[in-house]
Amino acid sequence: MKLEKELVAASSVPLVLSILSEGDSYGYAIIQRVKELSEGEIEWTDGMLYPVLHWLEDQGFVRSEWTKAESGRKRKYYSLRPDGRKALKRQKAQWSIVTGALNQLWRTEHA
Amino acid sequence: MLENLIGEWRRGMSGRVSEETIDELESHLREAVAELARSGLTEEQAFERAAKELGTTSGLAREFAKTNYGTWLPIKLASGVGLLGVAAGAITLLLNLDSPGLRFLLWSHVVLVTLGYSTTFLIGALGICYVGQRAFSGFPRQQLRGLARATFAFGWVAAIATIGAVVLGAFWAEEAWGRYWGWDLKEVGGLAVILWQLTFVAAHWFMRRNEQVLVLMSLLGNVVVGMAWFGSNFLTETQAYGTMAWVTLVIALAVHCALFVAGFAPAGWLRRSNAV
Repeated sequence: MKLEKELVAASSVPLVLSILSEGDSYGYAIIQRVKELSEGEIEWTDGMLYPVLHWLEDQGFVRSEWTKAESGRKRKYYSLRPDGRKALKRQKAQWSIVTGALNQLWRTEHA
Repeated sequence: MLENLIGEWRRGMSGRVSEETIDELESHLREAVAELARSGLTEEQAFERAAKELGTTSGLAREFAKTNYGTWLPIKLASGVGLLGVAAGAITLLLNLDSPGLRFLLWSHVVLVTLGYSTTFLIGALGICYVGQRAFSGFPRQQLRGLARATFAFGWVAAIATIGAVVLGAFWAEEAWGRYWGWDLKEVGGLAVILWQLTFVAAHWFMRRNEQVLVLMSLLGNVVVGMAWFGSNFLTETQAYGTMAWVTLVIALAVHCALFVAGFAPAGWLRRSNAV
């Protein structure tokens, strides 16, 4: 099932923040993690992630640093800042309200 | 082969997004190509697929343009005020073109010193706006980079105008008072302002990545120029032009120091809601 474009866009910030809360990561690995978590159902255009990461950095939610991997390849790693952790907490609370409300409605429908 | 393809891709991206972003996207492409090559594709096939999955150059540019904030309003206003100041100075000099040589020299000195000092105040005003916006809503890094570039450009204008003013002032002083330099407080103030402006411009060269400190430094420029322009009036009667209650100056200096410190507080420390 292909997700609506708007839903994919709206979920990008909580997804990226949540993935970074697991540990520092870089663009390519973040996309792979999203594919793995959604079993391929969430399809991001690879290039769509980077403007989101830059926006999060502009907002002070994440910081970035170039590092050299063991393979010799340069990677830009992102890590969560304290403001990012707070933003993630708020996002969790907001998404819980939405999913909670929808679950209740759909449970009633099926009862 | 792969290097040629990536080189060509980079040329296509050049000018559409920043060089750092191109580096980051290239790093992504290389990861994807390596992964696809492991699954049996040739380098060329892997690159084509990875580039397609990354998105077209125009599509990527469109996505990044959504996070482009444009020129910050206070920079536009400061540029407008600065241009008006230059125009007013030029008109003043044109109106005094028929003045005797010594008088015209003095007019040129006054116009340039006003331009140099006022431009430093404009840079300081941008610093104050930065502290204000950052306290309430945070300050995007991209905008901060633009602001640092603007203060660098203004800094050059201020330094060149002030140096010109001091040199012309020295020639005028030689003609009028029989000496180029007399170490009076106004002259020492002018020298301090030049030293500050050159330090400010040099800091932009050496601390390019620390935009926050560079922008906050502009507040100290207000203090230096305030002391040079008005502070010396309280200590000497030589070249004491204009008046200002010393209390006003002390309050202004204290406010600037407080703003400088506030500039290091966490972004959005005065914001009421913390919506993402």
